Amino acid sequence: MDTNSTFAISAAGMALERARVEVAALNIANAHTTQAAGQPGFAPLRVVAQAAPAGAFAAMLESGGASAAMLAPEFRVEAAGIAPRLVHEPGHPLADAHGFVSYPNVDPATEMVSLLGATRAYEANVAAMNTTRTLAMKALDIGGQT
Amino acid sequence: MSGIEPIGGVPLQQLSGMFPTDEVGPPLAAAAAGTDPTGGFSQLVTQGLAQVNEKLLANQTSLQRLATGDTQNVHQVMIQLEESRLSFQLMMQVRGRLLEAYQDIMKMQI
Repeated sequence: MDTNSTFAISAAGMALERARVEVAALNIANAHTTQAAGQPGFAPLRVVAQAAPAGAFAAMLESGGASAAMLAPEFRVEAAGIAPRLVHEPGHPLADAHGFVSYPNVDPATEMVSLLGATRAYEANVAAMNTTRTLAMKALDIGGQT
Repeated sequence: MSGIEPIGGVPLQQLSGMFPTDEVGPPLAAAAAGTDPTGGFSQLVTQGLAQVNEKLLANQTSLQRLATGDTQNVHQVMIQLEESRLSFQLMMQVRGRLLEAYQDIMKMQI
């Protein structure tokens, strides 16, 4: 298998983890934003990643690295579907008739954990890529005068 | 004590049966070079050089885009850099081997 396709696999993983970090950062940044009553405010987002079809990797290995693109995990960003958090602030200019202001129900602990997990997974992808590179560089040492 | 065969010469058929497949195999370009004896290998070298050059040029483009803040993710650029470094190293190794062989031949006493 070509090393470039292994690089492409790691790159796909890195792209996914990057998306998770971006989404977590967006959620945290919008944690205290609000919107006028009746209008849809910010909804917490999440990344849904779908694995490549089973057997695709074996097929790629056996066919000699045709394309690593079909292995890339597909991910999409969708609303987490969490109901907004209602806070009683009668003096708020965006409060509704009962004095409630709706904030997105962002859980800081969840976001921090997903940030940490994404960081570690990104590092793991980088380590996998570096190992591939080390293998390729070591292969170039074959027959060298050392 | 007749069950154990004495250690000795292994028949050739048995040896080839032990290692049925040639793991390395003939060079891919052998067939092409056979049909075109004028410049099979030099053509290969030229193609390899062109590919390495292409990668380096692509790197330059993506580095320019990184410098102007146009790029989306840094890891793509880094991976491209690594790819081109690998192909450049491969080219250097091939060049080293070629020069070594050339110098060996030139030093040959006739």
